[in-house]
Amino acid sequence: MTCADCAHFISEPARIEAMIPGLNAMGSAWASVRADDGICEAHDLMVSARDSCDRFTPRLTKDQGRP
Amino acid sequence: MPDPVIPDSDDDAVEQPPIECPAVNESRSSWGEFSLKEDWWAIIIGLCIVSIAYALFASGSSLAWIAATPRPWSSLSGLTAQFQADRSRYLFQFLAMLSLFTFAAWTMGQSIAGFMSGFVLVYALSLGALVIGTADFAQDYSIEPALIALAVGALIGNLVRFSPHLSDAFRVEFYIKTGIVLLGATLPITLIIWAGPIAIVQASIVSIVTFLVIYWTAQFLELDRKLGTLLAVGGAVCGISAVIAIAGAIRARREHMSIAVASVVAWSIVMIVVLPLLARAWYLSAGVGGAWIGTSEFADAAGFVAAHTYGAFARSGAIAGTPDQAIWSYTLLKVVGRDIWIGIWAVILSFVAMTRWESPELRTRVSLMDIWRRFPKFILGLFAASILATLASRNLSYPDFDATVRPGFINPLTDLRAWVFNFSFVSIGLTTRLRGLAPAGGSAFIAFATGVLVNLVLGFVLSAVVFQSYWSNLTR
Repeated sequence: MTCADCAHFISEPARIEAMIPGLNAMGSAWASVRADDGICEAHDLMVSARDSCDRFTPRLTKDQGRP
Repeated sequence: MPDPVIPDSDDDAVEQPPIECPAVNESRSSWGEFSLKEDWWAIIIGLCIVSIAYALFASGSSLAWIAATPRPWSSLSGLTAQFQADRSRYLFQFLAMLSLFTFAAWTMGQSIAGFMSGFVLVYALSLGALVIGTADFAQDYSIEPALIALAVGALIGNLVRFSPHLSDAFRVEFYIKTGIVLLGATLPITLIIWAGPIAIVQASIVSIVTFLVIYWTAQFLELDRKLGTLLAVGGAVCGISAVIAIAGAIRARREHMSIAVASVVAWSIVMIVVLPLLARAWYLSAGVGGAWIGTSEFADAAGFVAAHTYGAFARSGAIAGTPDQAIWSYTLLKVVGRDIWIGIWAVILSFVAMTRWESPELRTRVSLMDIWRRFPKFILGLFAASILATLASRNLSYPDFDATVRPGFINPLTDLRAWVFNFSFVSIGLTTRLRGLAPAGGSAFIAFATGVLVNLVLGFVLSAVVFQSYWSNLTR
């Protein structure tokens, strides 16, 4: 139950760049230095995919979401 | 250092209903890291080009045919004649570049159609910048294609609103990293071994002092300590790359990242102009000027614009040295001296944040493996290309090197590097919209500006006084 599997965790580089104005001007969310970090929508923090918290919400794929 | 871990207490977690969303998880496999990070693609593309160049050179041929670049011209008829003669070379080069970068972008999850459309624009603007930069009038005034590419990109980027898919191809960092790997082939490993330690000493002194100045100023001005840390690493270590790495390491707020990014972008643009002008005013040699830029500029790509601009003064004879020396000393200071340490900064600051500042709502951990996870991998490509090129010229005298290796192996790679760097410079212009940046309040501005001032003075003293003899005498 880490951030990597949480629905609040945004790790897609394009979305991260869209959320931080100017990031793509002289930096990149595709860079190695970001490692596996992403933005937690619930806390509005940059967190590691290996972090966890009490607001964990499972991420479901579209297939898993179907009845 | 042991790996301190705050134990998970998942038993206490409140059960939340699942949310349906796309399954994107790049952290699960090393192959995901390998194919999704642009650093690895920069290495793959760069080393592929270097290896092909070496294979052709070793077999008595050369990559020169595909490495077409505009030659100096003084009349439109001369320029037209050039392009008529070389049109098939440019076409093949464009298709090869388009294929390589599009494949990489597709693997990293970007739209093929969007990237290809955007790349056409990036290539066309880069060609325009190279054509203008090789005109007689531009050469007379030492106006580098790098500066033209940046200006043209900024003009168009601020007048035209592009679709997000088209913007997929405006990848400043991807191009600059690929260019740095290609640069490795023109930077002998012996030079890295000789000047690298000095670069590390100089860069470390400036980085630590600048970090402390910005952080303490931020504390004095009662800024949030995590914001102070982001501003400090942005000014002291390696610009936005440092902000991204450290934001994740200390679990910073998104708004603080935005403020730090805005500060770095704005000051990087200012320094592109200020550093070459100040260095030129004091007649610093090309190597010394490059070292100062490498010490005091914030972003890799912006620094390369400044270093190219300063190198052009050497080409015209206005300062001592060669354009290569400006690029070499810049690369040694910025890439080898500063960028390489980002993982260590991240682990130290992560440990401080976890033990002293951590947000109580998160359960976090820090590991020494983070040094590798956050390591800017493209630097490995720089070293690999440098070793390969050094091996290609081993046992050759300087005249032999100039007669064979330079025209057959080094020059084509230098020309292709000029293209890739120009893609990056155009992209800086196309993506930099100062009005869109987060407003950095007065205190954040003062803290960062104080660090900039100290960085400038200390960088000058170390480059032009303390280590002047090293940077003035960089040579193959």
